[in-house]
Amino acid sequence: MGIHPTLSAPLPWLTAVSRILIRKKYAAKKRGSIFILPRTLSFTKEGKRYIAILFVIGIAAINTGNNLLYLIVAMMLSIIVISGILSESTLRGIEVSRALPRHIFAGRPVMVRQVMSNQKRLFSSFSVSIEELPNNGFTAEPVYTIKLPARGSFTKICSYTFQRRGLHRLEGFKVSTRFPFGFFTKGRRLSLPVDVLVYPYYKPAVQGASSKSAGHELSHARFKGQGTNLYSLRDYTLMDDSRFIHWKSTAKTTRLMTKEFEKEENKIVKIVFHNALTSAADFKDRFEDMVEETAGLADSFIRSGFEVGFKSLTSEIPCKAGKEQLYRILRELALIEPVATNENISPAIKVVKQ
Amino acid sequence: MKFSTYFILLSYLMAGTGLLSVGLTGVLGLPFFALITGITVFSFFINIKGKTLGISKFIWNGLALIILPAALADYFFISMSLIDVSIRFLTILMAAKLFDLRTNRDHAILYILTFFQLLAASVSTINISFLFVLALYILIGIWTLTIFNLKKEWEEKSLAHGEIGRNILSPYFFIATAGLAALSLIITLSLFFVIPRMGVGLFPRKTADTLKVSGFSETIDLGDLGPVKLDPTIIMRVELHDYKVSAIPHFYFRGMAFDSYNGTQWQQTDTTSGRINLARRDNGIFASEAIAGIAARNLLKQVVLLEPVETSVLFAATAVVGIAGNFKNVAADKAGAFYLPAPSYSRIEYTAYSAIPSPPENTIPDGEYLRNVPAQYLHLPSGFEPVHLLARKITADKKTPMDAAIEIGEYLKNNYRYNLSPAKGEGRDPLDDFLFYTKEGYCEQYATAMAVMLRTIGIPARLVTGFLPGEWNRVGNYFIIRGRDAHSWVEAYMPNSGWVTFDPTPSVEAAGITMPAKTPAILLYVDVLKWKWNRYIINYSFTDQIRLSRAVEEKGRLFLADLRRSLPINKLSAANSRQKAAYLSIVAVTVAIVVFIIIIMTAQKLKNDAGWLKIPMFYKNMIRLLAKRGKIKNAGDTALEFADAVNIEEVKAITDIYYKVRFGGYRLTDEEKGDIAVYLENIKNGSSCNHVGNF
Repeated sequence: MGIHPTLSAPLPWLTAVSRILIRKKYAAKKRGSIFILPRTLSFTKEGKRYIAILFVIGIAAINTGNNLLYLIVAMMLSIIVISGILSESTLRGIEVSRALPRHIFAGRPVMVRQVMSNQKRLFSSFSVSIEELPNNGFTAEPVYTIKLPARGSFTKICSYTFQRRGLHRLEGFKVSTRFPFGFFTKGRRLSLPVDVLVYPYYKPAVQGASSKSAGHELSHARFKGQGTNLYSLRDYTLMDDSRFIHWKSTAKTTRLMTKEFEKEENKIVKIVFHNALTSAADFKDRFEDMVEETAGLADSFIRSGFEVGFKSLTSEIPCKAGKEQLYRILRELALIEPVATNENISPAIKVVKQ
Repeated sequence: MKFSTYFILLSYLMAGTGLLSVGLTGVLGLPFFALITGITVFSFFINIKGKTLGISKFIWNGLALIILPAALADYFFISMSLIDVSIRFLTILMAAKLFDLRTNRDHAILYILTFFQLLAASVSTINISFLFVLALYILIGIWTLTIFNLKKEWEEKSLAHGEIGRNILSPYFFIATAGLAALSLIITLSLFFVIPRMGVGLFPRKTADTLKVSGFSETIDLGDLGPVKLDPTIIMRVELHDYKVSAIPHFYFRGMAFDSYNGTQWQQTDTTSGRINLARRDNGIFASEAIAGIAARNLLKQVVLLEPVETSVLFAATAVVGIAGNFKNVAADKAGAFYLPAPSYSRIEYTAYSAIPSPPENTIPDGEYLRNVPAQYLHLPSGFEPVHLLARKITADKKTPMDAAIEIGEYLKNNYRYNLSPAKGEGRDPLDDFLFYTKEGYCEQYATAMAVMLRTIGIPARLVTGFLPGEWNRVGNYFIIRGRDAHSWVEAYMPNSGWVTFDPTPSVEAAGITMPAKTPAILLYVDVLKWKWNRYIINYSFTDQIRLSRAVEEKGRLFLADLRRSLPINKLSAANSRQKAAYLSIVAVTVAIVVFIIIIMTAQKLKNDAGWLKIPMFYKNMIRLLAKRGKIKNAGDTALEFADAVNIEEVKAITDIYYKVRFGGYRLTDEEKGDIAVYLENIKNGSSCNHVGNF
């Protein structure tokens, strides 16, 4: 293609350039950048009435030429100016921080510590409300304080609830006030972006029910051995370690009784989550149910002392025991998405003994 | 003090201010005002104890509905003034509301009622006290509204009042509120002067209290001025600019001249039909032709603030030649008085220009003496022979009209007694009584006698009414002219001098009259405040705004010019080359130092703010790469926590090195730098070792 034909068809170029620019602009906007006004102002019901009265008196002043009516109009305007000054003074210097817990589960309210502080050296702030910037993914309690002294702070523990698992972006806060007269609500956006990883919701299983979890039974035979689980009680012999004398039964039977332990079984399992994408009608809900079930399984096995691993079509976690392992698995489950495959297999969960 | 008590007190302060504002108008009358005040106080004690009268809201609202027809009846049958009715209606509603302060809404309604009371007062009064009430309203209003808003918000959040008390009920809060009120007042006054005056005036307000002042209509009966001379009401205030009035003989404020006397009454034969409408000149002055021949230094400029009087004459010092003011039309009669088309029923302000008279000549008249004088100034009805004889007797040896007039004046001063309430004698008319029987009277009689006597001996004369200069207010530098300063005197036509003022009335000292006591200084200050209030607030107009803006512009221009002159750079051109070099070097060094300081401070600030400058570049790059992959480091996470959360070996490795470099002062070897590069590449490509993430 020569230069001339290319230049003679500017539309594709323009489209490409526009797309890049718009994407950049949208990205900038998403980051809360230059196109957002520094303050928001809205009238309250009382404020609308006040402006209406001001307008009427202004008209009357013009009609009559009465200078005292002009004085009243000037007074009402000065009240608006004072209101603007005081509300601005209230909003300035307000900083907010939040401390989210490390582990957050969908659907379960979590307590978040919000700290509102006034950085101003001299002036207090009055009647300040803070609320998280709107987001469809979660709800959060707003916080209000009547007075925040200069250099002072106010701490409140409030409840957040994330509706869905996954990565949520909390953009920041809206700090607003109706101080001093309640005619206007002035607000300011405080950018405090943070990404929050929300684990899937699941019902924690009862301790020891792991072998029956969600129909994934793991049967195993019990043998005497050197493990830690109790196998049986028998009479004490001189060959036995006196540390293992079971004093309770000794007292009952009036003979020395000792503990026998179960053979340590290989308690290692891997949960395999086949996160294939299908075109079933209710796939989305079913997929979420499966994610929750997987989370429940992991929790159940880990509580029972198993070493648990995880495998999906896109990731794998080696088997380990302990709470941290659970959280690793939950992190994966928080972000897991169905993946398209060439095989015609429905999504499924399997627990495989290692 | 409990918060509820504090809040009730504030609401009552608002109510009190509203009541005070309508009290200023005088519409309520003292008994009604006292009644409402009593009801207010009674309701205060009920509310402060937290009690009520036990009357339901329904009944209170019904009461308001009952009051409305009464108000309508008041309007249609009694006062017939919408403003007066509104004031009474609002006051009654407010008093009723004070017994029904249960909810926040009730308090809000009370505040709205007090605001409308203030509004009604602004329409009904021009009293300077309104400014003080307004200032008080601003102070209490700001305080009350702030507390009210906080209380409302607090209750919306279902929190207890105790917290408000601890945080708000402090002296500092009130001091801050007072400061804000002062600021608000300053802003109010500033906006007042700046808001453009449109001058539409479709429904102009009539000022109340038009003064009835006799002696300034087209006819004047002998005796009209008598009652006026007892009246202390202020008629006008006159400010003089740059002239000593003591240099002017017979310095009076002239009103009207009367040319026709029928024995009991003076009249103007040329009434409105004889008046000529004057054109407004380029300088805004309605001027007679006489002004053209007068040098500016011979013009006396007066600023007159005239109360609303029932006359259309514009008072000014004798020989007024021009009037400037916010008038559409001004007319002048042949006797030299200036008039509005109709009496102004509101206070008006204007600037008058009067010719400062030069000393009259004392010459023997020639044949041209009476050529241009209208005949009515010599006309008298029959029956004045005795007066003629008396005049001839007094002026027998006087050769010139001037001497004759002076002699007549002296004769009257020395032979007649000043009395504001002269007795009725046996004369056929008041002048006869004065001259031949009672021999007592006041200025009207003296002036009439002189004017008639002059006419009988062939000297044209006319009676003039106006005002004496009155009291000099040394605080404000203006004359206060009251009703009691009303005066009559004579103008006689002299050869080569025109109309000359003569005053045959003896001075008050010579008359042995006890003058009213001098006004105490404090009242003079109060009068100055009233003057300023009327001048700069009540009568503030578009013309004043233009004047103000020009004055500000001029002052600004002069200030900038002075500033420019004082700048060293302007003196530089006069300096030699060595001085110039030295000056420029100093400036350059100063600028360099300032820029250097700014750079250092900025760098320090950046350094302090985030500590970002201290973080090694490889770690920053890692953070950026991870952010692109959706792994964003929270502000509150330490590097170690972040590495643990991300759970990527390369990240952990880089984090270990980061800690050593940043906090341990460790220097990287080339091998380690190479390893870091590999780690970053792996993170970028998503091929990290042992990763378990959604890359």
